[in-house]
Parts: sequence; structure tokens; C-alpha cells
Amino acid sequence: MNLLHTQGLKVYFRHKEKTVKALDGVDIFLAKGITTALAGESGCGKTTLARTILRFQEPCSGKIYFQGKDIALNQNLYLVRKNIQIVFQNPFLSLDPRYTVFASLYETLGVFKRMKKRESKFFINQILRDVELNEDVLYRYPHQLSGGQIQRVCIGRSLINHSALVILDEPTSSLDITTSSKIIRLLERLQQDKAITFLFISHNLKLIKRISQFCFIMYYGKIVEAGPTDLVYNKPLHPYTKLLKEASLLQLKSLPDSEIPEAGCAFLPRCSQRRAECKKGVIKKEAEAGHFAFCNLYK
Amino acid sequence: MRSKLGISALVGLGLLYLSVIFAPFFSPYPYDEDDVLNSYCPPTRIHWVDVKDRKITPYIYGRTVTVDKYYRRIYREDKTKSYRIKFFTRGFKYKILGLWEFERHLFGAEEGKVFLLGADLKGRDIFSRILYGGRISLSIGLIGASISFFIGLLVGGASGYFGGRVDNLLMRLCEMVMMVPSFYLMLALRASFPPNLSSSQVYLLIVVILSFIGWASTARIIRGMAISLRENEFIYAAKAAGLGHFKIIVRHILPHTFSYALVAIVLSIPSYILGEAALSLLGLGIQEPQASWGNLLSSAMGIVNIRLYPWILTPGLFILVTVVCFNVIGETLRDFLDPKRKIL
Repeated sequence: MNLLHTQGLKVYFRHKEKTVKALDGVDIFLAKGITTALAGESGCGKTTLARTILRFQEPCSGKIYFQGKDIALNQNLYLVRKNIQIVFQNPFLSLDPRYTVFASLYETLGVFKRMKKRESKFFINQILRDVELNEDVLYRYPHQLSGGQIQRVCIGRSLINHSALVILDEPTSSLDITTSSKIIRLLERLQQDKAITFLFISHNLKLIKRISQFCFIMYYGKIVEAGPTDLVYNKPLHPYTKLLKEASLLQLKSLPDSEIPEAGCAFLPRCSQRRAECKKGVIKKEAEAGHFAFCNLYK
Repeated sequence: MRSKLGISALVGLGLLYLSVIFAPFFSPYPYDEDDVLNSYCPPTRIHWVDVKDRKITPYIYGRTVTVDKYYRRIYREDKTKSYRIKFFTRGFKYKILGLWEFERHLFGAEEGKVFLLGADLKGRDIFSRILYGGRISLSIGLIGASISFFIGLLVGGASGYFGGRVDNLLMRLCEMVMMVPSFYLMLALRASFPPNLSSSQVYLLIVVILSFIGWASTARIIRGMAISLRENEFIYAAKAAGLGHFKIIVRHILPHTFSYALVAIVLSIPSYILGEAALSLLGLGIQEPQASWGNLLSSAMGIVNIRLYPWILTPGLFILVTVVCFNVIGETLRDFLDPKRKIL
């Protein structure tokens, strides 16, 4: 049973004459209790997908089902707010600088359950223990904490109301290596303890291999490959995944958006193994169970 | 340098407010005490050296009045009679802060009347009237500015936060208010209410009218700040956590605009004081015998009066000093809160 799945999700941004297809028919599914990863270079629509799931962005078309319910309906907005939380990339901007850690956590805790400060102490201390923070950070302001500490607070905040799904939008990319590995370890532990579903967004395939069980590779608004992370990492099907794995994006000339072809494979201009039929469209190729790619290479 | 100026302005304003709050104590006579015999009496000269008693002490001479051929009253000092100025003398009864009854005043003459800043047509002490009038003029600024800022913050916050159609609607509304020249709007609003209201009703009315005009410019600037604030991740985090729109605006957006709001509130107070003065000057504001700085000036409208009795212009001096003080404090606050930004 999937906790969340999307059907043909499309989000277009119109700027004067140009239309940017941030999401162009995205179908993803998040299985309950595991970490699913979403990978791709910056600008490919990962964050837009997260924002759409959180209903910060209305889709042009397509549906999102959470626990079998269509979350585009206003009556299900409560469900989204109660069960889906997000941890952002930049920890320093994720907490209101005017609020102490306690005030931020207390505010979140009080959204669904009215609670006195004294009662809330118990829950807040518990969540602090969960994210391995000392109690003395409680009455500090964000600027008095390190990035790693704030990110822990943010993770704690996302868990405090027992959300079912937490979206981690590059939670470690603005932290240094030691801190980010500690955060990754914390996330792994939290998942084992609490059986939360994570959607881990990252551009780093190695990181994804370590933390996730299933992954989607995204390229300019489209899913190009998906499958169990081990398979995707060890036997990548799509040329883009291979590039990502080698992290040799720097060697490629980066493309302006306008060069993305209107029809056919979006990766075409960069692809070294392009064929004539790629201009028309791509086919879905399933290699092993659950591991598939949208590419014409494996006809 | 700037801060020294700011502090002195703050001290000056503080003294002004103090003397206005304790107006009955500082004023030797009631503001509405008519004394036709002293009509347009010039400021009383205070003498210090008492030759007879060989002492340095303030005293005044008595007055004699002659009427010239134009029926103007000419006041001359009568050196045969001298009266001491006494401090903490007994005078008319009043209540301090409306609570404790009291009858001592800071100063008063033994006999006769001491007019520090002269007297008006009805022989009322202008100094006392300025102090009483300051109660209205100075409080209208504070109350009016707070009300319009409350509205401005909410409207601007909501407009910037929601964006889209709400923003469009609210901003067009703001522009409509700003588009009409404020003075005509003020007159039109005043005209839409009956002229014969009690003085406290008029007071309230003026506050409401002035804050109705003042909120728009604040709302526009707060909107601009809210637009840039709403893209912050902590706002999205609060949204994702399920916090309501109103709570997000009040708790996470408006507090970040407060330092600006504080500066702007101080800088906008003069316009309220001037607005009240303008309305009262035209006789549409506070009515006689109640005093306000505006209606005190209304007796100085005729050029003849100003030529003959220049002391009736002193309320204007008080308005000037107050407005300058508020502006200096506002500028200093702005520098203090954000030394880098030069223009608001």
C-alpha cells in the first residue's frame, strides 16, 4: 500500500511568452515506512514536486493521493498539514529568528492540540532526545545555534505532531561533511525507531544510495528512471542516471531551459547515445521487477 | 552627533508631554476662565531685582488700561503696585490624573494676573490654554498613529502574504484613499458628520478621520516587506505545520516589520498633529471653549490680529517644536535600527 502517489502531475509556470514545465506528468509513489529518494540536478523540479505535495503550489493538472484521498480537495487540506511535514535545505532560514527553539516547537505542537506550556515540556523534551539535542538549546535563538543543531530542531519540529510523511529537501547540502553524516545517521535511526516515511530529495546519488530504499531520478520535470536504489545505482539504465552517478555534470555544458525539446526525450541534447526515434518520444522499459526507465536504448 | 540630537529631542518631547499631562498644575488659571478686562493683554513682564527689599525675586507690576481712539486697549505697567510671583500657590481646584483633588499650582501672582504668553480676546491666559490644548493635540497624534498603524499592519500584512486577488483589491483600496488629496478627504469626512457634536465626540471623530487617511501609506510599505518575508522558509515551515493564515501573519510576518513600523509611526505623528490643527483652525475640529493648538491658532487668522497681538501665534511655535522633535526622533531611530539604509 502506497502512502502517497501522484498521477500525471503537471505544474507549468508561465512567464510572458515562455512556459517553464517544472513538472511534466510526474507519477511517483511513496511506499509506507521506507525512505524514497528523488534525485536530479538543480532546477529539475524536485522542490516544485515537494511544494506541490505540500499544496504550496497548485498543479495545472494531475492528482495527488495521500492515504487514498485526493489532497487537492480543500476538505483534505487538514490531512496534508497534519501528516506531511518538510525539512528545508537551509536550516538558518527555516526557523523564525525571533522565536526561541522552545517557542517554535511549542507553536507547532499547539496547532493540532491545545496545550499548556508546562504540559508541552514533556513532549518537547522527548522530541529533543529523539533528535539528540541537549535541553539547554531550548531557550536559545536560531542565530545562537550551529547549522547542524538547527537542522536537528527542524527535524524534531517535523516529527513532533507524529506526521506520517516527512519531505527532506536536501537537508544536508548546506552542512559540512561531518555534520551531514551525523544528520544522515540520525535520520536512519529515526526511521528505524518510528517507521516514518521519508521523501529524501537530493542531487547526490551516493547519499541516496546510502539512505534510501527506492528512488526516482528526475530530469527537467520528468521521471527518467525509478527503482530500488541498489539496482538503480549499480545498474543504471538511463544515460542521465549514469551521468549523475559519475557526477560528471560539470563536464557537460549546462543548457538553458529553452533548449529542452518540445517533444520527445528532454535529455536528448545532452545524450551521447541519442537515436532518431528519441525526438518522437520515449518508451518505458522495465528491466527487473520495479526498476524501469524511460529510454529508447533498451528496445 | 545624531544620537545627541535625538536624545535632546526625546527629552524635550518628554517635558512637553509631562507638562501637558499635569497641565492644571503648571497652568496658573483655568483654560476657560474669561476675563474681559484683560482682553488681548500682552505677555506680562516679569521683574527680578527688587530694589526696595534688596532681593532677587520674581515679581510683576500692576496694570493700568487706557483705551485709545480706535477702542484699542493699551496696557501699561503701574510701577506703584508690585506683586510677588509665588510658587506652589493655591488656585483653582483640579484633579491630578483625574484621581486626587489638588489645588496647588506651580506659580501664581499674589494679586493681579500673570500672563506668561499674554491673553486672548476673552482675556484667557494663553499659556494655560496651550497646556490644556496640548492634551488634545499631542494625544491625537499618538492615538491616531497607533490606530492607523494597526489597520496598516493588518491590511499590508494580509495583502502581501496572500498576494493575488486579495492583494490587488486591498492595494486598489489603498490607492483610492491615497489618491484623494488628504485635506479634502478630511474636510469631506468631517462634513459627513453633524456639526453640533460634543467636544469628546469631535475628538473621537478627528482621531478616526485622521487614522482613516493615514493607514494607506503604511499598508503599502508593510505589504512590500510582507511579500519578501512570505518567501522565507520559516513561513513555509509554519504553513506546513498547519498554522492558520492569520497566525502566520501576526506571529511570523508582522514582527519582522516592527522596526520599520516603529520608525514610520514616529515619523507620521506630526501629520496627525498638523491634521488636527488644520481642522480646528477651520473651526471644524475642537470647539471653543475647549482648547487645542489648532483652534488657538484660529484666532490668529486675521493679519490685523497678528500685527497687533503677535503673542497669539505662540501655539504655532509649540506645534513647530513638537513636529521637529518627532521628526528628529524618527530619523534617529531609523539610523539606530538600520545604519546602512539611507532611504526608507
